[in-house]
Amino acid sequence: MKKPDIVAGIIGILLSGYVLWATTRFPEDRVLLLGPAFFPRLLAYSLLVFSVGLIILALLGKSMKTNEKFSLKDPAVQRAGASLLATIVYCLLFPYLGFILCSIIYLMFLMFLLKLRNYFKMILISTAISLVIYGIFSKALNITLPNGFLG
Amino acid sequence: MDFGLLLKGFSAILQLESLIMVFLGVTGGILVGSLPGLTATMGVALLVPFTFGLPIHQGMAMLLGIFSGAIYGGSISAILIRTPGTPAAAATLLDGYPLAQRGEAGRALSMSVFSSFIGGFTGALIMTFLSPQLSRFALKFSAPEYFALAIFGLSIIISVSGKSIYKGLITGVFGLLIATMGIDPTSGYPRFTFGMMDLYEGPSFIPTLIGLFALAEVFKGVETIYKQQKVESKITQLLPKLSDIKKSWKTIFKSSILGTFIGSIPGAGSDISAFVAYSEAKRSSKHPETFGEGEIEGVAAAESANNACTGGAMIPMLSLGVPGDAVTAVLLGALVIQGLRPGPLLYKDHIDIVYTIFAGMMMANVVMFIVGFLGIRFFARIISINRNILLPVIFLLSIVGAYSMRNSLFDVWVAIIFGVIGYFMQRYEFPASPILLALILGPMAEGNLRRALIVSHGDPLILFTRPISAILLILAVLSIITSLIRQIKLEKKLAEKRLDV
Repeated sequence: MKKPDIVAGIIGILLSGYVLWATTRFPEDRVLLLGPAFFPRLLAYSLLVFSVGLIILALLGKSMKTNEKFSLKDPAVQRAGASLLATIVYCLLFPYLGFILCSIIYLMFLMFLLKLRNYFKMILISTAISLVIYGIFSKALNITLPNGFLG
Repeated sequence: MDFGLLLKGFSAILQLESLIMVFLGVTGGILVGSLPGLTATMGVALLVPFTFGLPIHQGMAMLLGIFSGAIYGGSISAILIRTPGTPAAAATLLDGYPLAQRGEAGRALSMSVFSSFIGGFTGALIMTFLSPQLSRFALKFSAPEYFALAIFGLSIIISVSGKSIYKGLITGVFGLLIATMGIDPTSGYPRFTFGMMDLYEGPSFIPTLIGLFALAEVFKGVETIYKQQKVESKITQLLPKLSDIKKSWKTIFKSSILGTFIGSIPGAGSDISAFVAYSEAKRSSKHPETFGEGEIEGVAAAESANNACTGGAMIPMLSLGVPGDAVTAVLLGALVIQGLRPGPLLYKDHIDIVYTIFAGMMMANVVMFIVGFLGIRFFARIISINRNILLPVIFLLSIVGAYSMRNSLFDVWVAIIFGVIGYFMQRYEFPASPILLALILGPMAEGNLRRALIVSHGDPLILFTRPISAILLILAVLSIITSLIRQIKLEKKLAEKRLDV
């Protein structure tokens, strides 16, 4: 696959460009040039060289073969995307709904997504796991997890 | 080595609370190690948050338990379902699986736990004797040597990159850039923080790790949820037979020593040591033709070597602050979170804790042996757990783990972002382990490079004219060259195989 390597190369070039630009605003060490910008610049230049190299290798047809194409139409990719979305929603609701309720819903959704259709099992396991994790972290390890409106 | 201190270390570890933590760590470690699809790196990253709230001795006891357990755990699924739970167990399946197929799963598993114990314990002993010497030597280091050491550590990026060395270099540089985020320790200037206070220390280590190694992996798992493999072998034997031990004790002993020393070389992890010990056992055997067909000595060699490697890998990690492989890098990060900075100064300032680590490592192996043989049946059942339950639980553990470090939702976002980055990286074969090493070694490389250059008034020759620093840099170059040669050889072999087909 040529394309992913070229895209990765472009991302690398953009990233190193950003670093080089951002470091112009760092305070300079005019004597030895060893200020805060020194190391990031060194890295940005290396990244630039490697990224250009990656693109050249890809254009020469020397990039390694990767297994599958990434397509948003692929149901498997959609499933991964849905799990990401669920995770984002979980984090947004987490402070409001509290850990336990949020986790139960989250786990049930993920199990449903992964084609578990035994609803009794789903509710039982989600509740049990959420309670156990809550118990371990907040009681045994003294790490506060938000209670949300339940607390 | 100081026996008085070692006894003190044991008295800290042999307290009930610490023992419970070792037990929990070992059990958790074996569990995550044995689940196919969870690598030891991912498992340790997921379990590390459980140690945050604990007092230092208990936290460390648990960490060492997790570490030892995870490496052993890999052999269970290797033997039973021919899927190594961790790369370290890849050599174990060569003979372990044929044994299981013949209905001798119990024989293979009990030998695996026995030789893992002997290997792990030997590794811990050698570590106890050698690492203080190494740290004393390293106390003489100053900035140029530390920079060279960091570069030597970074050179193992090549060997952890698997088949895509070039891409490994790119992700390594990317990781080094991430490591520069936050307040610059030399000048106090905040770099790449986008005005966010949360980024003043850079993206937190554990959340980043959980993103790259756990979330990325489960996103992939959701995508490729595959069929379950049923475990059919009945396990009737829990302890290895005396005749098997008699037959393999030489192999176990040799592989344990070999494994420890290979493990102590940064870049040569437990997978390499297992394969080296396996081929050595095969070479020196009177009946090499039985290897690969279900030879108990094969299991013994691979398992004693990969567990011995844990002690070996701890030597440079503790005394120099340079992790030998990805799992030890996670362990190093976890120790830093506990407030300990591995390196020669640890031996100077916190020698009591160092000896507690030694004692903990030995205890972890003893507990691993007990849990391992008592729990064989249980672990054999757990590896066939449904993935549609397992994956959601890992999702939840990842989030809680990322959150719990600083009680911060920001860290969870960090984990999610790195999860997405990691997902695409593995999709297009950009290895993630180099980022991990870069995050640990980046600040060490930068700080010492700048310090060395300030001392020499900007003359880079200082890095090459001091003998130790020059030797370390040469070693780094050698390590890169040997990995490259190994890679080329491997590719040739693969190409030949393809031609044969």
